[in-house]
Amino acid sequence: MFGLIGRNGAGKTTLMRILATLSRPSGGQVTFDGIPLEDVKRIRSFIGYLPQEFSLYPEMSVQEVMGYLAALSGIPGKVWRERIPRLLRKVNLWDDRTKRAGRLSGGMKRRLGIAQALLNDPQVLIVDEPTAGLDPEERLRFYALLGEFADSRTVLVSSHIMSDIEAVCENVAVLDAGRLLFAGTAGELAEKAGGKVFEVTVPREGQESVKRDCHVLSAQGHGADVRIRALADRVPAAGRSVPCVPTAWDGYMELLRRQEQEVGE
Amino acid sequence: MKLFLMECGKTARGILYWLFVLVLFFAGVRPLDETVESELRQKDDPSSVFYTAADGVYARDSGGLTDREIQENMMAGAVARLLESYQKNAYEYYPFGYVKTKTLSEEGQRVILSYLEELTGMGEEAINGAAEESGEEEFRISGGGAYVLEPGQGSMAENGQYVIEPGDWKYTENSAEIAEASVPFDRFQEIMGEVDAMIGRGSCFSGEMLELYYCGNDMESSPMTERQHREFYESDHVTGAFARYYCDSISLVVLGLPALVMVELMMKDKNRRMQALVYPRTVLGARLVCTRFAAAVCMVMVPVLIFPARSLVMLVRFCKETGIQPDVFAFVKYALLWILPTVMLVMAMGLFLTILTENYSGILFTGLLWLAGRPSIGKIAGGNYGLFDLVIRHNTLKGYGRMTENLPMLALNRAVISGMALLFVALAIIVYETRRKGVGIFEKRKFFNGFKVKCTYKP
Repeated sequence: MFGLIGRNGAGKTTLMRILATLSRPSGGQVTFDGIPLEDVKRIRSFIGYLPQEFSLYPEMSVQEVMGYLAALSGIPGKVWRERIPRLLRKVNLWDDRTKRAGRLSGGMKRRLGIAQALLNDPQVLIVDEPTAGLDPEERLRFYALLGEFADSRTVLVSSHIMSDIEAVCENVAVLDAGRLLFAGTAGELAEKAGGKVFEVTVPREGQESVKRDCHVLSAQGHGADVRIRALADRVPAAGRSVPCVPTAWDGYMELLRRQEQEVGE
Repeated sequence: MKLFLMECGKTARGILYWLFVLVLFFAGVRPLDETVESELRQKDDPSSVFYTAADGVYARDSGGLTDREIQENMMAGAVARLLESYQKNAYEYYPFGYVKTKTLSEEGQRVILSYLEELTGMGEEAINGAAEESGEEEFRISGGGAYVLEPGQGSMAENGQYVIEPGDWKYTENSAEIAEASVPFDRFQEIMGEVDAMIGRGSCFSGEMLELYYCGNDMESSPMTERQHREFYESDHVTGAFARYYCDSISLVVLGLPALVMVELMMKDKNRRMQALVYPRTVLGARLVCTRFAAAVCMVMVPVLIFPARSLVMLVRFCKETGIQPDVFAFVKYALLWILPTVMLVMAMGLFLTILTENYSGILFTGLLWLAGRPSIGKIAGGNYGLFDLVIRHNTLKGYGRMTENLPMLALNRAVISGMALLFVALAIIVYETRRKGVGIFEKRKFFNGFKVKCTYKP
């Protein structure tokens, strides 16, 4: 699984749409295993796509939606008659197969979304912000499901939640304002913040000085003190500072901080 | 086939589809059923298309009349009609190709009364008195002579219909006896022009309508001529005449509403945000667009073909009783040859415009098409076909000969309309494929609120 992370508006969805042959790039080149993006028909035969924003014909049942999209994928009747029940069972929607798509919950809709993306048994599965709007439990369940499907194919998943990406992806890319800031493993991303992450404990009234000197990642009150996790180029002067082991999230924030500094300069 | 059936199902789930079915029923099917019932009920009436003269003598064909006789007929018929309209204060006109009735104000009625006085030479009392005497009875004008319904004849049936028996008619050689115009033809035309202006566009007293009704266009509700009788039984095999009439009744419905069905079907993808799921599929754009088009056209044609079933059964039953061989496929033939090309063109335009603009402006354009494509009143009798006429009119049960005389132009017209439909489908496929590949069309234009792509990618 490959994770694509970036802020809102970073270009994740645009990139995903380009990869799904829905948008044309204004520049650059995209190839899938040597096949250029221009060979749309061929590419469409081996990709599956779950968009960030989608809906389904609400008047159709779950099974009808799958059948309709299978027909659009040119899947022979014999194949989809076997595949649709299997996929619906896999995403735990078989019991709800007669339910109208318009009456599905957010989580069920996402699961149906992943099932439809797998209809043509794609080699590459493109999943854009799959957990937006889902509660934490549904999010975990969804990523577990995605992990199962990733066994035999490449899954490209985008999110703006680092913990989601970090938990399921071996490789990560960071995108910001349409530019690739990083590509590598989650560990390598974490290293970007190596030696720059500190946990600073200061009295509540002193936290403003920490905010001025550092990039605050999180802050937690502890009685009269505040424990702040911050990014800084040198040890913060205020309070008691303890160096921390950076996470991929810290590395991501460090990349964004640098990017902002460059833009500021 | 599965995709086709699913698209049919999607079409049938649309609100606008059922609106179309409803309008079709009220605009086309009910008038047909009523006409069939009325004509069958009055089959012994000389003006009914079913009428067969026991002695083999029919009314004179208006084709053999002199200009003077035609003028006399026109004047007599128009004056009688004006008198009847005045009495009921109900003046028929065709503002949008369909008949409507206008009620005049007291002042307007006074003006009409003055014209009637001038035209007939009768006084107000006599005219109003005639109204009281004649009641619901009608004057029937025909070429050269006329069958006149004497006051007090006819009877009211249980169902409220006014029934006229053969004996109720009295034939008179001089139609001027019915309502004699006492002015020269030029003055008659002037008065008719003024009456037409009072009633509104397409009134029954416009020059176009007078010509249509009284110059041998098979439009008169006059007694059958021998030619008309032969055409009805031998050429039309009874059902053909009603099939044409049915197609005429629904012609203005199919000129507009099927486009809404198409627009609704195509807009479902956008409204349901299904485009991102549909576009990356492997199905060819041509196949998808053609399947949707074919499904929507089929779903529109299904009620068109089913609705006349009741009338057809009545007609076939009549034919069996009288030993005539009916053409049981007449409705199917006329619907497919006359109606289908129009349906195809209107829907193809809706398809193309919806794919192009990705909004409901297709409805606006097809509304304009409807306004522009309505045939002129002069064409309602049929037989007068233009190469680019969007619909074929034939608002009479007679006139088979008029149609066959102009059959080559009719066939060419239907071929051109079908060809244009296929051209729009081809254009729709091209635009659809372009959109699927992410090429924005009219992206910056608010009016054409296209499938916008906010591309922030900078290489």
